[in-house]
Amino acid sequence: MKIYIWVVIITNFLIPSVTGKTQVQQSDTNMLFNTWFLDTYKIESMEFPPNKREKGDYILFDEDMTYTSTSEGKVEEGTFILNTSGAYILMIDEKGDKIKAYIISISKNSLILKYDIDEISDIEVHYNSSI
Amino acid sequence: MILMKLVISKFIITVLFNKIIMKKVIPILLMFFSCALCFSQTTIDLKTVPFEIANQDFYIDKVIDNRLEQDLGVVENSSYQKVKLSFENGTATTIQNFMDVVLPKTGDRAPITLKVDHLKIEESQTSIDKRTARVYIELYFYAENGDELYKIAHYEEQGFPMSSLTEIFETHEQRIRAALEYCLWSFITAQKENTTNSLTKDKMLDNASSPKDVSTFETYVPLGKWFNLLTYRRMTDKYNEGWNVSYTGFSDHEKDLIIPFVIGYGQSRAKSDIVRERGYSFADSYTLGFGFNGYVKITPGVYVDLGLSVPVGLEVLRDLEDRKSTNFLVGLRANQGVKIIPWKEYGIVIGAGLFQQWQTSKVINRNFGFALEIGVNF
Repeated sequence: MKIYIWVVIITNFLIPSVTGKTQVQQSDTNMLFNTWFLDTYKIESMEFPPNKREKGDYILFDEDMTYTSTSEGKVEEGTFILNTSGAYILMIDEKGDKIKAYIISISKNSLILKYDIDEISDIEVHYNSSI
Repeated sequence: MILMKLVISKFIITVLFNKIIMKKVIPILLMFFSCALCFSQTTIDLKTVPFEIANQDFYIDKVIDNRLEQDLGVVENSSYQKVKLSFENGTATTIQNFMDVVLPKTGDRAPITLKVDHLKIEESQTSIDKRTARVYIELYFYAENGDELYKIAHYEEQGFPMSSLTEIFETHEQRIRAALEYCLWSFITAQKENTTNSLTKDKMLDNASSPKDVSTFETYVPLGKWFNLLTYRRMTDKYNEGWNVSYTGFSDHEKDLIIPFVIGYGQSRAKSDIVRERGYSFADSYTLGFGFNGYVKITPGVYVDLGLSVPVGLEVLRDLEDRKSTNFLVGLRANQGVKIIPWKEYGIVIGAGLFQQWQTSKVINRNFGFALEIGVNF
C-alpha cells in the first residue's frame, strides 16, 4: 500500500514534466520586454534560415503592453496580452486582428515562439535579443 | 385443426415471450441504456501557479457558480474512454482558491464578486490530422454594491496533433487557468479604459492611441463532432453503370460550408449497346477521385452535398476483334445531392444525388445521371 502511494505521488510529479507545454514563470515575463531579432526557423531539429526579405525582422515588446514588429520590412504596431498560465502571447494589431504565439522557451538572449497559424503551427521561430 | 394448433401455439409463445421480457430483458435493457448514458467521473484541480498583476486594485471576494450543470464536460482520457470531468472541490471553491492566490486580499483593494454563467471543456477532432481542445467561459464581474462592472465570454482553444490524447487530457486545467487569466486581463484593461475615458471627458483627448478593446462576448456554439463515413455509391446514367467506395471525414458545424476530406475509388462499365456502337465489346474504367466537396447543414443530420472532383484513372477496352487496349482517363465531375446521417455516434448514412461528368473516354465523353449512396458513420 505504501509503495503504491509513493508510486502515485512520484508519477504525479513526473507527468507534468513530460507534457510539451511549458509554464512561463513570473520572472520570465520581465525578460519578454525587449527587442527580439529573427534568427532562424526550426522544424524537428532541421534549421532553415529566414529569406532575404526577412533580414532585420524583429518584434519589440514594450512594458506598456504595446508591440512593434517588422515582417519582411513591413511595420506593424499593436497591443499584446501575455497569458502566463497558457504560456502564450496574444498580439492584437491596429485592425483588431489577433495572432497567438505560444512561448516555447524564453531566456535573456533567446526567445522561441510557435505561432497558432495552421500552416506554420509546427515551426519553431527563434529570436535573439540585441544584448 | 392445424390452424387452431398454430394459433394456440402462437398464443402460448407470445405469453411466454412477454413474461420473459417483463422479468428479465427489460431490466437488462434499462441497465444497458442508463449505463450507456452515464460516464465514469474524474475530478481535476487547478494548479497554483501565480502570475503578477501590477497595480492590483481589486480582489475577488466571492465566486458564484450560476451554471445548471455540475460537471465541466465529457472528454476522452488517455485510454480513449469518455469521462465526465468536474472540479475536485467544486467549481466556485476552486475558482475562489485560484483567485486568492492570483489576487491576494489586502485592506485597500476593492472587493469584486465573480459570477460564472458558463464553464465548459470540449474536445474533438477538427480536421483530418488535428484535434482541438477548448474551454468556454462566461464571467460577470460585480462591484460591492451589486453593479455589473464587466462581462466576458471567451473560448480558450488549442490545437494538437491526432495522437495527443494524453497531453490534451493533462492540460485541460491549464486551459481553464489560461481562460481565467484572459478574463482577468480583459477586465483590468476595460477598467483602465473606463478610467482613462472618464479622465479625458473633460480634456477631450484623442482616444485613437488607447488600447483596442480586446474583449468580445462570444456566444456559445458547441464544438462540432467529427464524422467518419464509409459509403458505397451506385451510379447510373444513360451509358454507364458504376460504383464508388469512399471514406469521408468532416467536422460538423452550424455555420458556413463544411469542407470534408474525401478519398474514394470507383469503377464503371459502359452499357453494352453504346459500347458496341463505338466498336468495342466492353469498356471498364477504374478511377481514383480527388476533389472538393462542400456540405451545407440544413438541419441536424441532413446535409446538402455539392462537389467537384477530378477523376483520374484507366479505361480498359476490348474491341470487336478481341484486341485489348487501355486509355488514360482524366475528367471533371460535378455532383449535387443530399446526405442523411440520422445518428451522431454510430449509424447509417443514406444519400442520393445527381452528377454530371466529362472525361477523356473512348466510349462516351459526357454523361449525366443519378446516384444512390449507403454507408456507415462512426
